[in-house]
Amino acid sequence: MSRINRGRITDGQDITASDLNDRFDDYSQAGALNAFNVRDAAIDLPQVKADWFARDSYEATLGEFSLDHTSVNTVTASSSTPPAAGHIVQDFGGTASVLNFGLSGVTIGTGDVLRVYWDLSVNPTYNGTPWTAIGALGQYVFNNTVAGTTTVATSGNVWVLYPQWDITSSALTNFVDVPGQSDFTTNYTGSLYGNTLAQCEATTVIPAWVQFFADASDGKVNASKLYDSRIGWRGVSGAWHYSGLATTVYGMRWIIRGLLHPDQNANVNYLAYDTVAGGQGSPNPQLEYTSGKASAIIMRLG
Amino acid sequence: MAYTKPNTFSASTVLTAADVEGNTEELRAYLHEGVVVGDFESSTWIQTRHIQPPTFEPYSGTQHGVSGHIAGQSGGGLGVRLSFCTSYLTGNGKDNAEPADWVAIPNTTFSLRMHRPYRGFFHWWMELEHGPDNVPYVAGQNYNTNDRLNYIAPYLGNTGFADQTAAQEGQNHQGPSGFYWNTASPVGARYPFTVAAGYGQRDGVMRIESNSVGTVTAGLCYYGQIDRVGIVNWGIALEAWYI
Repeated sequence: MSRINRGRITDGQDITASDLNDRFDDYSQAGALNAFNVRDAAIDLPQVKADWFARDSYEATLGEFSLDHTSVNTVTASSSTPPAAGHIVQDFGGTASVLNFGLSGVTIGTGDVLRVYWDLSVNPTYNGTPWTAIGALGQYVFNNTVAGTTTVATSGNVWVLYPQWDITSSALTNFVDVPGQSDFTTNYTGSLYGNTLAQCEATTVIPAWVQFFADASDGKVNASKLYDSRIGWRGVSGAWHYSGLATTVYGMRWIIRGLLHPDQNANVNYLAYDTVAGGQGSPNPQLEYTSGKASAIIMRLG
Repeated sequence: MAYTKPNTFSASTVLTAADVEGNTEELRAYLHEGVVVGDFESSTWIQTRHIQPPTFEPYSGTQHGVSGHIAGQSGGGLGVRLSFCTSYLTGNGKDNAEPADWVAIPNTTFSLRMHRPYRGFFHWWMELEHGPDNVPYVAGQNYNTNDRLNYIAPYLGNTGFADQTAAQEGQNHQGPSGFYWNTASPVGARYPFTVAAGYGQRDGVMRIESNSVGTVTAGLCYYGQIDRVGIVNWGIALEAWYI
């Protein structure tokens, strides 16, 4: 590391133009005294501007708090094709829960990353055995231990929760699905609607039911020993990040849809609406929810 | 870019304070703030001796450096460290939860000294086995057996600041029609735990941000209505970036 070696200005000394110039030019010497050994090599946190790395963070409540679930919001499964509109996560008064980035929004530069996390307390409910309906995606048929066949659940039916963002204005009236995520309404074959897995990058899946059976024998089901166990209240969570083209984000909100089930068509995997199972029981399968948190941070990439 | 003084002085001209100050101000910015990518060498542009030395505490799994803290602990793998929740420490699952009823979960806490204001996240995950708990229901003292839940929540500071809004529940394990225990051989849960009911993973993230400097504690706590909840595997991590 180099250092400047020039005597101080002393009391009574004349000030000349050349002397002043020399003192400032000391910092411009090539090689001997450069940016590396004067500034960069001496860098430490006090020299770095505030918010240099983690620029800002945000937080919002999703839904509304009710620890013992005396109040809940309820979403009913779609039984129509095309599927009904998704449910916007909201408080008990119907006001959408928004992770708000302010009037000016937050600009994500090309060297930045927006990281988003969320969680929600949910409770899937149903009546009867929706998976046994003819045409339901969530059914599977086994030989049973008597002589016939028995329809069981794949236990693959799910609800989904995913974010949308508004990159238009702080009015927050133009929410669209975030990059990597779609709304499960692509009609990919016949009467089936859904997303490819590549369109589910911000999707949280919530199991709708689970069935198990006891005393299976030789690959056959004991039809009298089929049990579906209550899923009950549970916490679910998700994460998503964005980096790429510069954009300004004004807010985010979350959507619930259901019921869905894995499917495959033309060698492409889908998460598809199971509107048959969604139309079973009275009431149809539902998802109750109370509260959760959404949080985000914007950071520099390296 | 190298420093270039904005003003060059000439003999027999008035020396103004503004010109001197202009050069000095540019020099100050050059030395302290005007960092641009082109200023940096492609490698080793910071010498270790010029930054505050990083520290690493292997037992607590915490690392501190010039930009903040990174920390992580895990209770799974070879060195399994089981943890637990129990309703007997939270008023036996009484009806009305108060902040004071939330109890810290053993092992799942970081205490870190923040040298500057910070922002970041506390991350957590765990696999839990809820019950089964068939202790008889007594009105006003506990919940109906079928409805008993265990809540996990993150906190910053102490459990009095449990973020209940972000609490995640798990349901008391039970079989169909509320069957719990098999008392004949083999003794144990009457029906299997499934990943969707009774047994399962929970995970979450809590934002942390403060302009205060000092020791900060972030961890997990619970409010339990189930007599025994086993935390089979768990992990916590923390990132706090100085601002």
